Amino acid sequence: MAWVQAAVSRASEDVFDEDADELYLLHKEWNSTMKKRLKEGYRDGIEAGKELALQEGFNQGYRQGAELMVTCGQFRGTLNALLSWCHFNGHDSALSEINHLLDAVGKHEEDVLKYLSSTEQQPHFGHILDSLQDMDLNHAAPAGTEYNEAEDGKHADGGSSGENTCRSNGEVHSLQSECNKAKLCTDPERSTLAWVKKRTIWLIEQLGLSLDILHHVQHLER
Amino acid sequence: MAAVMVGHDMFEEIVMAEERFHGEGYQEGYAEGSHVGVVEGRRYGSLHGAKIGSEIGYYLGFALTWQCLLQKCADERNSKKIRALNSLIRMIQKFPYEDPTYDKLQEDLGKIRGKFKQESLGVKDRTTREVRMGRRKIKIPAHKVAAAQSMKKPYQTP
Repeated sequence: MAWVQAAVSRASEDVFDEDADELYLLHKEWNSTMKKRLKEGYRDGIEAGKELALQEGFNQGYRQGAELMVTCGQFRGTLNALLSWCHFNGHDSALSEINHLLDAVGKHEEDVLKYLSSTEQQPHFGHILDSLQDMDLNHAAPAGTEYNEAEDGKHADGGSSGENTCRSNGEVHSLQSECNKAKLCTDPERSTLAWVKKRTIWLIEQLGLSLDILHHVQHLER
Repeated sequence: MAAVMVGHDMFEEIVMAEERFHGEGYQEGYAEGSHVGVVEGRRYGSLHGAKIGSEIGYYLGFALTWQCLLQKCADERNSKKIRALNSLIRMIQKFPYEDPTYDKLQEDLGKIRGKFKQESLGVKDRTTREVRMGRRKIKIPAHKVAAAQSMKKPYQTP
């Protein structure tokens, strides 16, 4: 009866060893203490890491946000100057077009801000900013707020053809749909200012104004 | 004596273990906290920067355009305005608006604002500016601005 013997001997180890329970309890207590220390450490670490990184993140974000938005502001300023100039020089026919462009810039600014304040987009922020800075500004007029980050190379390469598409002076809507048809225009974010720029240049030409303004507007592309 | 030594070692070991576990947790938490902090800080920062970038860009675009427009018909009254615009443009171009660590960011911005107000009225911007700027105010939720501002004074570096 070997199994009886084995059972008995094992039972005697467990049942008759009075220290076993105590050891088990000590072990459990030890574990829970260490778990507590681990948690405390984690909490302290989060706080310390966050405090330091907040400022760093703020500085990074600030710079990016400022650089991103200064161009919008410049367009708004340029258009406003033109608006008041037209107003005082009796070019009333141009006013509605300028207001229309100002609305487009305003809408674009709102979209950018909406994007900046949304959490989900943050991980891609740097990347998108890069593409914004490299942009040829040549796609369709404003639409949604979806940001396609996958096809940067294509965007950059296909730039000039998009520009040509947008050069025609047709209605905004037809322009939009035309540009939207092209595969290049998957990213509406990068299109609005390009469109505004084209229209502004056209407007300046129509008003017979100095090429210097054109020059200034050309520079906004960067 | 031997018993005392053993007791001492055990005590030390326990303390060390506690420290080790705390340290391990800390490391892990620190990494997580850094990530969360950067993301959060970046969001506040980008909104803040966007607001100032937009404002400065507006002033610059407006001033540069008017500078061109006025140069076309430069009589004496205009040349005075042009000089004023030139100085405004210089102020803006010297202003490192994109640098959150620049210690006079708010101060310089205030000066530019004042100068712009003065000059833009000079070039008869009054009506249009009020209409356009009134409608185009950038809305950032108050709590976000407050949170950003409570953050270790982002504009003041040692």
